Amino acid sequence: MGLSSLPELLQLEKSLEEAHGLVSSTEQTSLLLSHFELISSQVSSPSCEVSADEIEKLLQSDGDFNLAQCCNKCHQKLFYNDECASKGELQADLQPCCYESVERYKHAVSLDVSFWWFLLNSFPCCVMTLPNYTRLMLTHGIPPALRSRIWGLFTLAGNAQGTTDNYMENLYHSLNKDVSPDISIIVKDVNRTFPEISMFAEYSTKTKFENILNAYSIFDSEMGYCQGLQFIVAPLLFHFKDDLKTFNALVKIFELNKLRPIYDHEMSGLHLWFFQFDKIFETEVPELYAHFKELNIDIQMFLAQWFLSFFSITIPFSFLIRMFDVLLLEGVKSTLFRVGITVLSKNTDLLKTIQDSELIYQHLLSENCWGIFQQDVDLFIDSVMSLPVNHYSSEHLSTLEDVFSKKGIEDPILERVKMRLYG
Amino acid sequence: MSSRKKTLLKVIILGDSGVGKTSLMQQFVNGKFSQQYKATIGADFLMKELVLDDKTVTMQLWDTAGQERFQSLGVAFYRGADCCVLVYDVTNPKSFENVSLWRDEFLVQANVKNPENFPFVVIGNKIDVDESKKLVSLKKAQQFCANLGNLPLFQTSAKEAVNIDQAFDVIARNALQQEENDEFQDEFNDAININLESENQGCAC
Repeated sequence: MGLSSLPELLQLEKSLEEAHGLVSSTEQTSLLLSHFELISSQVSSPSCEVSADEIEKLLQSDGDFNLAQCCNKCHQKLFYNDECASKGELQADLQPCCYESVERYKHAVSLDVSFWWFLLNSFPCCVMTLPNYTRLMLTHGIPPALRSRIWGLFTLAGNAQGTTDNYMENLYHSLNKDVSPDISIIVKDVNRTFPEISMFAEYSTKTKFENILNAYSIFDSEMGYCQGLQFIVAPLLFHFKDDLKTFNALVKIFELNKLRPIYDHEMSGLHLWFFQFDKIFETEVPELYAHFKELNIDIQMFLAQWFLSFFSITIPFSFLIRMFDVLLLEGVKSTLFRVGITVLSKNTDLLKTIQDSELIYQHLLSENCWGIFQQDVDLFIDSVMSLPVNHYSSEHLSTLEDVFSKKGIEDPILERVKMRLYG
Repeated sequence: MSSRKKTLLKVIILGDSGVGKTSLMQQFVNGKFSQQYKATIGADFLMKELVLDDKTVTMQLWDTAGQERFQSLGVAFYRGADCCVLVYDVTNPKSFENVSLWRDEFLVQANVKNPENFPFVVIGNKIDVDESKKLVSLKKAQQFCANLGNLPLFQTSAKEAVNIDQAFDVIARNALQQEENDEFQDEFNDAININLESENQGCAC
């Protein structure tokens, strides 16, 4: 598969220019490459061949994965809910620009097909040789129809054709022969995870969902089930559809991103995250930071909700999906931090006019904090991706961790936390 | 003096996961019930203005996550509370047993000045279910509240809006009293400071 015509070449050149525009310096791809190193160190089998025709066909198919699609001009949601999306029923009050978007989604330019074909078939090679371009394409969003396969590659949960290995399959089934001690909370939580999305109201989805959480809480029985996990599983299951693949992805995401300490019984890792985020917040958005200090705002009040649920409690679902496109390849922690900083910095002008700490908490804990983006998912993701990444790199975060571990212990909670983290 | 100042009452709602803390708050503040609340992670809160006798107060209701491990985040949320509501589910005996654990946990973490007199209110929720499903009797709950120093007890249904306003009226009054006691303490301290200052600077007239 190669570039066949002059228009394609010209377009490639334009896209590459755009890629360089987004990534002002080579530094910008460092997050992608450092997290990718972790992923690729665990890749064992080579990817399976997917043909370009197959990709083109997928790109033209409809499906409920279209739910997260919005018009790229006016940002109107194209489908009322996922049920309409799966039937391909468009919203009634669409504008001409929306119909153009629909067509655009269906007829992906052949250059895009080439790129996704390259990524699916030679994932490591694609990221290593075209890091800027990969980052640009992720920023634009993975085509919904390819998402399940590409997320499968990013999370090592499946190969390009979307199948999972035997070992995990056996493990998953044997784990589900037992019942988790947390099963009653799991059942309750599954019933209240994105209840507005019809797929999650279906009995078959609920059963899969319960099985995934049940298996995970037995798989890591010391950590057990922690509330918040259901919100990480939801977008994965939404695209994978398959519970085994979702479980597999969850295991890998935890491993690669070392998420365990933030969800364990002491939530020890979470306190470190609070500390690191506080320092970054201070440098990145100093005006608002000073305002918060003046009002005695405790950032933990909203960060706990943001981090443990990956923002899912309030974030629009289309934003969440696009955040996952980035987060799975650039790393969980750095992405959640960048989203948090973006929300704070975009809301700075508004928050600075508020003198009541309660109103600030209320704003940041509710859907209101996303209002500034006016449903524009591209604006949201572009803001996140244009932040200087070296402030979120693992080197920078570990420098901050050193400061944290050496900091004098002033309260009993932190004392417990540090004992757990550093022995 | 205090009438000109905005009176803000901070109320913390605690209880096991799924007993209906979010629903109670939503019913009281917005007058609606939905099966569709997302699980609370960390904490969330709502505000409501109330008139108690002739005084306008703003209630700040903190809804918390029910899973035990979230208690490690408690300190931040519990600070400055004026009243604590302990919720159990009448169909779930375990959630009732845990009420006293939640109370102890709150007292340890909130660092209140006067633990013996700190106002708690106990709520048994979901009384709209069939009699056969009610596994925590009213009598048992009354006995329990009496033993803990006559804590006010309400049996409610967030779903059918039964006893919600009555419960929150008592919660608000108790919180207000607690707030005024605290304020009296603070003003008393302030008064001493002011006197000291005026002594140094002499009389203004």
